[in-house]
Amino acid sequence: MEMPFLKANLKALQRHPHVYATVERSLAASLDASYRLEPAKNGLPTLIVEVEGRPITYHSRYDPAIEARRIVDAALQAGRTHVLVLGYGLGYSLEYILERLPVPGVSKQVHVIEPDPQVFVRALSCRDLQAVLNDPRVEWSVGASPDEAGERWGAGLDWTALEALTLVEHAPSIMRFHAYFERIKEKVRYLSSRSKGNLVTLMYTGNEFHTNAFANLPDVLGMPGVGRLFDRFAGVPAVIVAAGPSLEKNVHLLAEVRDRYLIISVDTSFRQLVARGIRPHIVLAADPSYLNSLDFVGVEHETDVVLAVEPMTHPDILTSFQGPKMAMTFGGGLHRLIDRFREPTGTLLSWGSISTTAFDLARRCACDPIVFVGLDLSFQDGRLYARGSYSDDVFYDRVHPYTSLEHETVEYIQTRGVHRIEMPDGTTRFTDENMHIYRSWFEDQFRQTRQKVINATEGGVVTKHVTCLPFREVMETWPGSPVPVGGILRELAKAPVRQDVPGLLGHLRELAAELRRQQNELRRATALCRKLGGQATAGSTPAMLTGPARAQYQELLDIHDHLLDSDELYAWYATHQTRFVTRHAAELKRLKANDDATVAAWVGEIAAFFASADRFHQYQIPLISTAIERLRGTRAAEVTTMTAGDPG
Amino acid sequence: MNILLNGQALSIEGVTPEVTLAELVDTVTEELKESGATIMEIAADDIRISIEQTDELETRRLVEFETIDILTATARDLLEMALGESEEIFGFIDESARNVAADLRNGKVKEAMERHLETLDGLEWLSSILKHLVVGFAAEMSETSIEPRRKQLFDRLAAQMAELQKAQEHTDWVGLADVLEYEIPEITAEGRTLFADLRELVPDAGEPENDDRG
Repeated sequence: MEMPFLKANLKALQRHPHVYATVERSLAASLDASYRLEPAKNGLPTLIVEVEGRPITYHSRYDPAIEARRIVDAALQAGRTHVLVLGYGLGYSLEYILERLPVPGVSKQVHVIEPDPQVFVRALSCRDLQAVLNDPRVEWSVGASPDEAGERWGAGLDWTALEALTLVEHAPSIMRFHAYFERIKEKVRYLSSRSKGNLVTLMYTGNEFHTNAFANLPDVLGMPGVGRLFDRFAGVPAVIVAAGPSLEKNVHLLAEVRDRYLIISVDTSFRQLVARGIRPHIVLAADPSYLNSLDFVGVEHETDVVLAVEPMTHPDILTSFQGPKMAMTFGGGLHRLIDRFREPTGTLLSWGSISTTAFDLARRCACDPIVFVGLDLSFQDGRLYARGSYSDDVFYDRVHPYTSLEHETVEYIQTRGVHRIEMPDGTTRFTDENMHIYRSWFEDQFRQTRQKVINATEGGVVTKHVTCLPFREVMETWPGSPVPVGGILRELAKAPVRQDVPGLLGHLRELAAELRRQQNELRRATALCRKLGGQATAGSTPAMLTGPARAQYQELLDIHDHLLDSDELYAWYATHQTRFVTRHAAELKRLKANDDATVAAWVGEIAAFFASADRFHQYQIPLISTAIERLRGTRAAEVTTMTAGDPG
Repeated sequence: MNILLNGQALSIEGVTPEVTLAELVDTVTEELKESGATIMEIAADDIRISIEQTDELETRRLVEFETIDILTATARDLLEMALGESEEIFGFIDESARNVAADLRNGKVKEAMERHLETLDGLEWLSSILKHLVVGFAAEMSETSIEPRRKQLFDRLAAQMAELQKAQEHTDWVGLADVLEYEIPEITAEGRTLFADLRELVPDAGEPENDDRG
């Protein structure tokens, strides 16, 4: 096979190490005769792949470029901001897609998914792809599983910039890998609904996460991380205790397995276990809300239970709980800040429900099998949760002489139970939007999990890619061996934590200094806004400005563009001001598209940004100051300083 | 009851008033076998029934009518009619092939396959006409270059129809789309030229018919 472009393309491909590695592995097999490159009638290369003796033509043998244009024109409507290319082939479509999208565009706004690395190697061999490989608008998944490709797409996306997604499908690839691409589409639908939900959550509760994380920062820095537990329970069965109404069916059996299973409880089911005399080994907490902190009222002194907390958890839980604590992280928020100055915390997945984190913890601990109880994710017998959870307290507050707890709960179910699910046994169950998404997540993850996963809920709606068995039967089939789970946990939890308090203090002081610098800039910028907004030139367009006004306008733009150059502070600002950031981006886009936009219009929008930055400063500076004060009070004897270059 | 053949009285033995029009058609078809003529339509009193309306033919009996005229056409008649309709059919083939190709390239295989059957009908019509021209217009074509062109076009069409079939069997949709988008229009273009030249040779062919059969 002639490879006129391979060397240059491979050099460009080094920008994408994950694809480069796949291609390197595939090059050895690139002599496979089932992939035939042939010139089309117009001289461009085309590809024919023999599959089970059948030739599949990948591109027109007459004019592949025209063919690609037509496909893209049919799919890519105006206003679409992001594109998912399903099947790359030799890449004709991508080039035309990039022509149609604005430059510079948005980072990773086009994601290319090619399931067959051999096809991609042919593309690298016969066409000059350096431009598309170097284009920051494009992200690649080659030879990845559908789940990996979907996750990469979701993880790389700037969800605030996503307005409308177009799928450009390469029909021969779709036909050849039909199930693969169906799975990708399912994954994308699922990630979209979830991540847009996350964005909305961020808009409304982002501050709460951030405030809690700063309040908990000094405590979390010194806590052992759940990373210490990873792979420490290989082959030990785990049972995850969720708080669905079916928990009451088999919760009493948990006492019989405590010496053989690792029992992980979510916050909502903790009180119910304790009330029945059952102590889980680990209880997880991550909810930032005060309401969820009520789950720990009355169980603060359970010193045989390890509390694993995410830094954003409501601070009342950390201060009130008297037992051993470990830190865990979802990888967002202050994770990057904290983990630079301590041993690795241990990152776990979270998809909105703490049960998802409990599942990931069991996986990372190498437990096998992983058994769920109380994972209804649906309403059962007119109830939301098992009796005794904090939701009962919340609903009870609404009860008055003309209603009842049951009535309030049923009303909630009737309002929220929008998803009707026909079960294999012919019964019908109802679930709400959130639980519906969690169900999809679990079923999606189950199929990606190496360990055996069993749903012993004895109810609920989670049935795909999981073995459903009564818990009694699970105990008989996987009796397990006696394991000193409590002892192992205590040992892992009490070992000293490597942390660098002086380093963190120094960094926080630098951030405080940067915020003060920004405040000075803001004062200067506000004065410039006043001048430009009040001048006779306010009605002109920016291009018409001359002399000092032009220089002042340029300075204003510079401050706007560079005020938040610190990635760390910008991330916090974007969390605090999410709604403004989204609106501001749209407004700037509108102004740029309007050649007649006046200086007054521009200055007005820029001034709004400065006001937003000021609100952020008013919020952030006290958080940093408090954290610095508390860290300065940390007793030196409790600090094990990390040395420079310590791998952690 | 009068039974006519193209307006001329026809005498058929063994036909009673109780037989159906379908049975009459079968009997007459048998008798016409050697003549090369084909029954096209039955004019029963004031009702016109096409030979393709088999249900109607099978339910109606001779006794219901006073006069039944059996209208026939020869192979040449049919070819002349076909030449007259060819512009419309070529247009249909081109458009249908283009749409099927576009659907296939966009992965809409189900929609494409539904339409593709109509395209194939059109191509089979063309193949049939090209095949029978040599019989219907043998005299006119013998002294011209039309016959070698006809044969060449017939062979090319046969080859491309085989390609279509092969691509369809292999579910090679891009290969199928290529033939429909690039090869078929060339064939229909050549067909148009050929038929235009033929109409010049056979002045009656393709002229609007003074068809009193409706």
